[in-house]
Amino acid sequence: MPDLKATQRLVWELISAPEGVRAGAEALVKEGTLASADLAFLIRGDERLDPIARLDIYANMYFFRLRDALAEDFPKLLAVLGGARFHNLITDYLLACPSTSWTLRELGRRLPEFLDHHPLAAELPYAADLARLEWARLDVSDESDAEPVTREAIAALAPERLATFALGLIPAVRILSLAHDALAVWGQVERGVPSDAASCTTSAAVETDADPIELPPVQVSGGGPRPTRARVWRRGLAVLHRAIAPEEELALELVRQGATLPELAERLAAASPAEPDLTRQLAACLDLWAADGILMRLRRNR
Amino acid sequence: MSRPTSLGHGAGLRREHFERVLSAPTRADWFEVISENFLVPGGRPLEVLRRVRRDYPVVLHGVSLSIGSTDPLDSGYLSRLAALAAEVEPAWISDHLCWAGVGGHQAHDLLPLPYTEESLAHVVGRIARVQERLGRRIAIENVSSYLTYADSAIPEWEFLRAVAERADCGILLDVNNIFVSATNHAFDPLDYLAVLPPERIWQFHLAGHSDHGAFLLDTHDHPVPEPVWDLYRAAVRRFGDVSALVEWDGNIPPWERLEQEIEATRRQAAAATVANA
Repeated sequence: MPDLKATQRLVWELISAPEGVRAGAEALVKEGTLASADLAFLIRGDERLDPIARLDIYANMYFFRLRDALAEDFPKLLAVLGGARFHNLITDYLLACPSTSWTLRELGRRLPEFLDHHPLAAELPYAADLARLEWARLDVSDESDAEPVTREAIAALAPERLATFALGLIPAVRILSLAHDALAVWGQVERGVPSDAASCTTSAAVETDADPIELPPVQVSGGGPRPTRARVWRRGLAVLHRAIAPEEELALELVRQGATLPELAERLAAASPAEPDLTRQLAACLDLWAADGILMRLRRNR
Repeated sequence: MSRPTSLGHGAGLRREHFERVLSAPTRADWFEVISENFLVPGGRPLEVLRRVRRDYPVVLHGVSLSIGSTDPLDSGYLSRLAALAAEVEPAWISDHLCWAGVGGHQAHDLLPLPYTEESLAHVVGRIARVQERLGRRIAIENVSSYLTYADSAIPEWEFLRAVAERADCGILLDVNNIFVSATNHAFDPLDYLAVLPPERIWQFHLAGHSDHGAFLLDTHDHPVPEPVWDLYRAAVRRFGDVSALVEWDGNIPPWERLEQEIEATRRQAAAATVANA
């Protein structure tokens, strides 16, 4: 009998084998790792279930548990792909990127990048960006809490203090640069655009215990090639996102770096020399960000 | 070893019931939460847990300790668990007698161990290190299983008792898991209860399962079935007033239905106690 470590490694290899336990065992016999594929040396069988059937229970649970966890994390991606394509995508993903973290929360981190290079990218070019948006929303949902600066606090600042204070972004903000208008697709699925086959929304997919593989794809329009910048953030406990202009992206990056307001104005002026009223634009931005609750750390700039 | 005072009858806190539990009093005496769902930097889960903790005792129940794995213990996981425990001050912390991954890969499952002297020494040593890191004793739960290793030489109940006694830890006794494994491996569940030391039993789990013909699957998606109630009453007769908790993780019903199951737990415990008097 193998020792405990060898036993665990063998069981892992068998229950994660892409074609099932029997095929996995036969492959190990072929490569000379196992003497016999019946696995009787490892697992006891009985009249109800042989060793392979017993290991298959774990193999099935392994895949379906991880697939269902990803279906919860990427509900809009599941909706546009439909259950069958999502199932196949996740099969490929888990083979390429098996879980290495103690938490299932991390399982989908590499899915957007994986989708960039998956054959599905040719079929649904926006899929990777939709996954990027969903991951960013998940990321901010449990990001660190912070006390945002209010519009009133900014308005109350004396003019001489405006020059010396730096603003920062709360941790629960992500800025995305996407190649496709994934926001439009997300919105359509969220609103429950009926598909040709059946009326099926993501919410229904997640809130029922229906097997995700049964879900037909939601038909959406748009999502074509279109450079899109998005801000994803959490206000209180609500997760939100919106498209932003390149100027706002630049300004947010400067704020993230802790620029003072004069530095911010100077850098924006240098980036947009033809813009006639930068001060007014900056004030509008600050007002919007404060209303959205994404500014924090109003602190003295040393 | 003295065991913790009973917390009464509670339920596993699931996301579907957050709003209801926070908005009005419930008939649960206490809640158990899945530790990993709250090992996050911030946001809604932690906010909910803090609010629930103001009104109820809470137990942290983990699924990722992987106490039986031959991979090193995850110090990052233990640090985060210790930090959460410092904030929440749980009545106790529990996890499973299993392994969840190996070679750096995670199956996110509760995989059974071969019940051998090698496994026993391995698990006992690791529980000692975990208890030292957390600064407290933990409770270890028996898992449902669907296979027996060819080299298993110790009955599961003897193995569990030896783990608890040698590691000086508590036992979270999952009554449904005993029933499921007893059916799948054809042993008498009462043998299981007879061997375990009462002072080690900190908590009971109760749940439903699914019948797949050739085997039972521990799915937590049904009410507690009658044979599991029978075994629960036998456990109460043997172990006395122990904290009991209903788990319901699939086909999750409205909170009011879960409360009925908590009430059923109370009634069953009372019936067993009367019969014992």
